[in-house]
Amino acid sequence: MVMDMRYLRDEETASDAPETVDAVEVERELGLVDWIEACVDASDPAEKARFITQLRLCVPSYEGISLLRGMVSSAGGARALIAAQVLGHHRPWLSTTAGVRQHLALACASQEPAVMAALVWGLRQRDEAAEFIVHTDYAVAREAALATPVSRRTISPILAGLRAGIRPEVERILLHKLHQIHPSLVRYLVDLLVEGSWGEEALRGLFASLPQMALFEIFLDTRDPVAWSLADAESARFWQRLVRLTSDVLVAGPGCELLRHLLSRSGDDEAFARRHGSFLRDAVRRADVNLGVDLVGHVERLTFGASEEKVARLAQSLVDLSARLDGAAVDKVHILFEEWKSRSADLKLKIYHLEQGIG
Amino acid sequence: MGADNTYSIVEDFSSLLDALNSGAQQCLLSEYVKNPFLDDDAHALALRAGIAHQEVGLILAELRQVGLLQSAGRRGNMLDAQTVRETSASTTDPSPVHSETEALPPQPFTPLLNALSCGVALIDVDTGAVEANEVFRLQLDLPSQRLDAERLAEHLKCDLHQIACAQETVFRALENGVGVELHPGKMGLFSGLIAVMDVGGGAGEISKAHVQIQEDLFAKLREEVTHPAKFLQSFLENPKKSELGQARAAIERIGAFLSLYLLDDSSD
Repeated sequence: MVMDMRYLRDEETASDAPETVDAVEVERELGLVDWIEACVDASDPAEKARFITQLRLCVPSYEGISLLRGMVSSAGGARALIAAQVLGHHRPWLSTTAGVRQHLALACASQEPAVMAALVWGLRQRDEAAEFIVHTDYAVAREAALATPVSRRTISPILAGLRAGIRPEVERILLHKLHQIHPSLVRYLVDLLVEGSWGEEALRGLFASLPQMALFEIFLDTRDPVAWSLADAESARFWQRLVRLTSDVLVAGPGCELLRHLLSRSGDDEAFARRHGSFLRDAVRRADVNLGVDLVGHVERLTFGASEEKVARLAQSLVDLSARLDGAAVDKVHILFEEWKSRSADLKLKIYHLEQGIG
Repeated sequence: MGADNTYSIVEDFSSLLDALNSGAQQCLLSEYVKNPFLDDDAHALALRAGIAHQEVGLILAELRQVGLLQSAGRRGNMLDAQTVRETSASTTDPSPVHSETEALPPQPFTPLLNALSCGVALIDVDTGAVEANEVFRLQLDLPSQRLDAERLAEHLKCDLHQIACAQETVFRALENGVGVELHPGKMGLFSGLIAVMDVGGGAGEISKAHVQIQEDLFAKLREEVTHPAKFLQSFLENPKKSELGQARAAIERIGAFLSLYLLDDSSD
């Protein structure tokens, strides 16, 4: 329940001002609609700003919300725009399904793109905003992209938008949001990819935004591909295309988390190291130089007290990585190599061969 | 939101953007000009404006420092009405009143007025000179330059001469909820009306405090109940043994919140 404070001042003013003169009548306190009217009619921007501050501070009652809805649907122009923005700022209507439904209907019925965009803004962090992503008006589509959360319900409309070829700014916003998708939703997203035909660039942009670890596990480190990939030859081909694309995208810009994972698994699991040896090598060679120190430190921790086999497996990655490093990071690598070489003659020879490029 | 020519509200504020040199500042402020009700946090604002999140905090601080934005608590930032007024006055209305008022004699009661915590103004209805303290100007949204009786009468929507002649105290209630009492009086060489602000027992401040408390409660509700509930939902959809501990913690978190606000059954 929300307290309506619009009339609070009326009561207090009345009780605190007994010394008034009859000739001067106390003016009626302004309400929501009056403030909007005054805001639109004011010729001075300062006046407008003051009314906007009032509108921000007030807490509309349910009656006030109805008035605002009426204004949006019938007033038009600046009045409808401000009413829509006030509706989006104060959102007690979000607490009921009917309230959301009414707001959605209002947005769908709006003929003015700016008003519709303001109404869509009111749906921020609601799944319902997703249906406006493919709207033809840029302002509406942008506001919808900003308002849409990434959830099971919104992934499909988001993908439909990306597939359909939306404006670059809207695409940027959606891809940024997908970058923060929960890893558990990536498999569901992959299941939906088969629903439409994708251009190479759109898919590449999408995959470059998705969490790398989840992509690696779904496409490159699984013996259990998604069900749809086995349906027919066409699906199998599409799946192989996605696998190839994932590999390209991940190798082109591997993140720290993925590289750490690859190094850890390669050290622990010989079969994994064999299976992904070439991928790991390519990824390490393209790794961001700024990650070098962090990765060398990670390898150092992994090889602390480790078996000679594990050290030998990780030595290859360290050799690849050291070729791209300079300064203190290279010195650290050399110290590490010297330490490993001192463990046994066999390890010393292996590392020597790796350093000479004959491993 | 789209900047359409039919929406004068956008046009009126767009002069603010001209006052800025940095493109990033203009970009960010333009979002508030298009939608003055915007309540994005720094992350959402960064995404909206296409600026790195690390930079947004700095730009917002700069905009607040120059007075174009002011903090709106948990609801982000908002356009600063006071600066809008000054900017619009300096860019669009170089009023001739300024040059006239600059010629007025020095104001002898300024130290006394400035020492008072409530808004007070001395109005000489004969000469038209007005001496007001800062609180009075702020509460009435009056320009920082010198005032005259004519402008003040226009603002208070009353005839000051008539009130001064009637020799009776008059109360004026303004649109922003502020009241002004006009007392006829004499003080040394001064003779005219003494205007004293009555802010209705701080009703405005109480309203603001209510809104703030409500917003804080909703934010806490989101953090302590909505987020754990969301986690529980995803856990129940796909239960993992490794997340059992987190699920338990989520339930305990919700329970603690309900208990704190006496909403659990144990308080019955």
